[in-house]
Amino acid sequence: MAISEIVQDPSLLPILQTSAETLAQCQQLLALLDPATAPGSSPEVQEVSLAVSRQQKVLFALLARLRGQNRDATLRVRETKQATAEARQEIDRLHLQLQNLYYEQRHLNGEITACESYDHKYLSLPLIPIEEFLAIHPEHRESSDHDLMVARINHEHAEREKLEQARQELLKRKQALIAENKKRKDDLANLDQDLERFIDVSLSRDPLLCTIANGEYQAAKPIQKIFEKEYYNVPAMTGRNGELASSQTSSPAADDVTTTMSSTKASAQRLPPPEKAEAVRTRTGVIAAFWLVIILFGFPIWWKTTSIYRARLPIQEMIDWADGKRLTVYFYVVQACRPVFPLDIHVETPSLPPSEAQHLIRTTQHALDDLNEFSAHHLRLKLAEGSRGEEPYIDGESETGVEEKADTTLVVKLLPEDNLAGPRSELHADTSQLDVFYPPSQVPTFSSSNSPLSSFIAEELQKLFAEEKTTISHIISSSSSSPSPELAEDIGRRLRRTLKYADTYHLAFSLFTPGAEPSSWDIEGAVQEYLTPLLEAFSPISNFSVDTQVQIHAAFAPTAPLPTFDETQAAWTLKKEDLSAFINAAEWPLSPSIGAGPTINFILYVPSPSQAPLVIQGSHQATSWIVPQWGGVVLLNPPLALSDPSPRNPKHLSRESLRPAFLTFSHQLLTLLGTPTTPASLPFRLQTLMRVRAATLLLSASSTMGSLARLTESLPSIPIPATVAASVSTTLAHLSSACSHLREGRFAAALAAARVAEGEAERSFFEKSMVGQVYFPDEHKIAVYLPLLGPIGVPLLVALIKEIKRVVASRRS
Amino acid sequence: MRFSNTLVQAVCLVCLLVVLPVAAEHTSNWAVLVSTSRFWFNYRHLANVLSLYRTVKRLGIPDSQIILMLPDDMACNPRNAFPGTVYSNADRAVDLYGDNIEVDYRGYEVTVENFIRLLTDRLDEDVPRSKRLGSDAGSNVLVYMTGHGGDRFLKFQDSEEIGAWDLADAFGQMWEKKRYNELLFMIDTCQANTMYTHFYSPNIIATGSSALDQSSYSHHADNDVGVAVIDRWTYYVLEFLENQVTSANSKLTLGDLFDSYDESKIHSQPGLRWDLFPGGEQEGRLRTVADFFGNVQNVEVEDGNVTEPGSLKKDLDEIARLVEKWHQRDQVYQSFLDNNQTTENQQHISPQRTVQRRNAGATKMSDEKSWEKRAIGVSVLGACIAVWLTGSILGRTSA
Repeated sequence: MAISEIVQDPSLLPILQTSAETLAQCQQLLALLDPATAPGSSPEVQEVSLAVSRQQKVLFALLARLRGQNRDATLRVRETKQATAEARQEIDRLHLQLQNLYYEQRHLNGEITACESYDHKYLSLPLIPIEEFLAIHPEHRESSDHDLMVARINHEHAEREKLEQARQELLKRKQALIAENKKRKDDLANLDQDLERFIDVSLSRDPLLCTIANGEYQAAKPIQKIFEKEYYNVPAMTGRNGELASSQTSSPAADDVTTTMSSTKASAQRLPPPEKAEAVRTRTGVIAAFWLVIILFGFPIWWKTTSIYRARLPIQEMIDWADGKRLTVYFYVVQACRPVFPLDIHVETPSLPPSEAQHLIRTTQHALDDLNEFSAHHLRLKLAEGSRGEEPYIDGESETGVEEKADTTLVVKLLPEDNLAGPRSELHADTSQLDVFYPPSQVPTFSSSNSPLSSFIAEELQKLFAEEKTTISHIISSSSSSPSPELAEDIGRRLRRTLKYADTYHLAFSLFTPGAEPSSWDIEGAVQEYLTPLLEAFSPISNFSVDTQVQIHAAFAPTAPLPTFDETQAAWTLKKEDLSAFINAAEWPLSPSIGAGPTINFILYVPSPSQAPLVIQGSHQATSWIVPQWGGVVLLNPPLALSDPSPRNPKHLSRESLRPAFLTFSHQLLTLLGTPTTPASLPFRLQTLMRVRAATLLLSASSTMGSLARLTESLPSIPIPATVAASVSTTLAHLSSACSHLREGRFAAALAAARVAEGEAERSFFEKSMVGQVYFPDEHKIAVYLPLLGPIGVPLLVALIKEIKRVVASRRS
Repeated sequence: MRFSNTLVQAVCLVCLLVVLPVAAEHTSNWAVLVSTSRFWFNYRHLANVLSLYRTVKRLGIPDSQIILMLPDDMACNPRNAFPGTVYSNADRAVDLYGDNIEVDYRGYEVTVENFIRLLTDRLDEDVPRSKRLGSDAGSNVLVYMTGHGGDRFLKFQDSEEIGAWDLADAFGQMWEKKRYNELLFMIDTCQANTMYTHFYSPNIIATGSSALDQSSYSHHADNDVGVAVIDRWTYYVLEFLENQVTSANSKLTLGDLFDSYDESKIHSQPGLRWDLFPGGEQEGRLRTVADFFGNVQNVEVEDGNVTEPGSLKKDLDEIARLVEKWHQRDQVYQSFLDNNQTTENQQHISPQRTVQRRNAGATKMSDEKSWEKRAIGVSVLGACIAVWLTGSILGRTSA
């Protein structure tokens, strides 16, 4: 089939034509290029090539036309397609409408048929046949079907109403008849009773007559009376009986009914057989058994399970301790315990004869006593028996000799020195020894009761112990009676920043740095080197455990004020008031340690090289501060490695570079543990701390005892286990032993006892099981018990009461 | 005699002068923030608590001194349209849950017993310190509670309730053991003011959201979250705290806070109780808000150049001397060791220094005597069988 036959669209015909031309042109070109007719010589070649190029141009023109026409055709096709699509859409829409209409029609048809074939109620009414109706109402013969039906229905309705009325009347009659019947029945029953009574009386007549005949007239008289009464009743009864009989003659069957009824009535009227004695006993036994179980098992179990165990505590004694009376019955000796601090001071006088030395000491003691105002704290001077070993306190050797004799607080060494105008003193910084240099001329003579030397020594000693005395009086009376309010204020401030006493403190050393370096430090060596001596010195007072951590890339809190560069100091500075925001508590892992006892945090902060050196604003370039009751912070600015253009922190902090920081930490530890600031000798200060701590612990343990006693009395619902009682007795024993140790001046032993007392007191107060039950008022108890016990209790109680009544009645009869 | 009298008077005067300021001061701040209700529809109670948490943290109380009790995890509730977040306002500007929150008691740990144990510190020894209220005689404590309550009770988790009596006793015990200096008690629940009627220990200021027979209402709901997001009273307290108490140095007082209550906004009568506070209302109103919501931290800078006794420089000298002495002793000890046992020198340099890590072997956790228990069980069973047997034998003979 030729292509012209398929394509007949007039618009496409030019294309076909063009394509045919193009085809011809191509063939022409091919013919020209045919290798068979390839020209041999060059002019021919030129000619041929010319012809080819001409033909080619024509071909290109044709091709261009063809392309254009093709494009047109495509466009037309597209247009046609669109037109077709639109038309189809229209058709679809119309079709859809048509469908809808069709469905609507179908639906309506269905509805119509449904309506037409509706099964009306009236059609199923059971009406009288139409012929009968027409016979009754001939006037409807002419009316239409519809009217006829209406009339029929109305007629039916009227008929039915009539019938219903009749039914109601009949029902009423039936009711009346039933009532009548019932009345008759009751009369019959009464008749039965009368008959029975009559029969009873008539039966008992014979034996009664016998007794009368036997002549027992007295006894029979009242019975005879009864009989007479019954006897006279009989005629009336017979009368009624006759009446009834006449009324019932119409129904002979009723007679049988009445007789059977009377027989059953007679048996019900009879009493149950009397209980056997055995049954009564069994019942009593059962009730008794129930009550026995309740009383012997139920009650004790209830009591045991609901009662709260409360161990006995020596309440009065505990309160006495807390009130400060502290009367202790200890080995049957009643003694009042006041925390007193007799301090033994040994005086060494290598260059004085004993008698003079004795005199000197006596006068000095007098001077001291005159100066002292606080009676609980007094200094006792003693002449040293020869030379003795020094510094026993830090070594811990004092604990070995503590049981026998009192601790020596201070050694005063009197050294004569010529060419001296007045006496002067010098405290050894690393021992508890006071050297007093004096001109020999000032030794008091026997005649004088006072001398410049003795008063000088007294004043020196007074000065040395001034702070301790104030602190102790501050603690004991919880107020200050010191002569100088500044000192008292100072002590108050120090006590506030001091951590609460604990048996164990955790020391947490943390290295924080914002960069990646330093990432390690010789912490073990540093702790060993710089901290252990101090911790050893503290060992009689508290135990310590040490944790360390390194946190690199530890940034400041986003809200924290950043350090600023200070030109004059050539350093980055932190403002003093911003220091409390320095620690990024939210992100730096400084959570308290897991074990018991508080944590003291020591933070070593190495600033980033871009912010080094970092100091606190102020003239002195301080680099450390204390956070009260929490810990301390030290800023460490290590020498930067300047090899690079950008300086870097060293990777590792050696022990030597940690030295200043750790000595500062040691100082902060001293401060935080409440070591007094004066005098300038560390062993001396530690001893003072020991005494202060002993007093604190003694007071705190006693007040805990008082709290526990008051708690026990005020909360009757909390249980008190036996362990608490044991702890309390341990506490009290240790309190009194601490007290006696104090009185005799053995402070280390007193502190040890007070530590035990404090620990036990805390344990007893914070006993885990001593949590009071949730408040449970009595009405709640009733609400809980009543549904449980009511159903069981009521029958049991009633049975018990009945039984008791029975027993009482039988006793009486 | 006369002299001693005047002396006593002078001492008393000094006492008074010194005691008064000292008594007013506190050294640390603690906050106990408790929500007591579970389930999604109580979203607002957790939002209340978290808002307060955020405020006290903003004012400087560190996490270690905040006890946060949340009985449910709203942020991870499947019904939360914004997972991982909790908002207390429909504008959803501040995510209260954030990325830095430390919940101390969560879920079913929030019970009446645990709450009372927390307050009285009657906890197991194993309970870490972060879950303990470590306050002492110098601590100001803020206690905030919210939940569903009634006349003198507050419901915990739909299963139990704490009575006003229990709470009063717990505070009484805290006072006995000197576990607070001053205490601010805040409660937002229905009939909240009945909860503090039974308090008897001193130094407590109490405030609640609604009087007896009054409800506490929620403030508004967030339609996207789908529930109410905050309670009215808390909302207005927070409004005051957030807008006016901008830093821990704020000088605003509790009086200002309580004066900001507006009954027409709160829709219930907020209550106050001053009578337990020494000095009563007059004194109590002067306490700053930061006394309870902020944190005191009077850092003490140590100056390296001051030479008064007890200062850094002196101490450093003394400690250095101590260290030096220790060194010498160590050396003496070393030489002593060297003389005695030269061969085992290496191991005995310092027996106390080497940290000995002992790995404790596995032990049985309970020390129950299992054999005893078994014997008791066997004897009980035997007794029961014997009773049964005798009963059946007796029954047979009688029949």
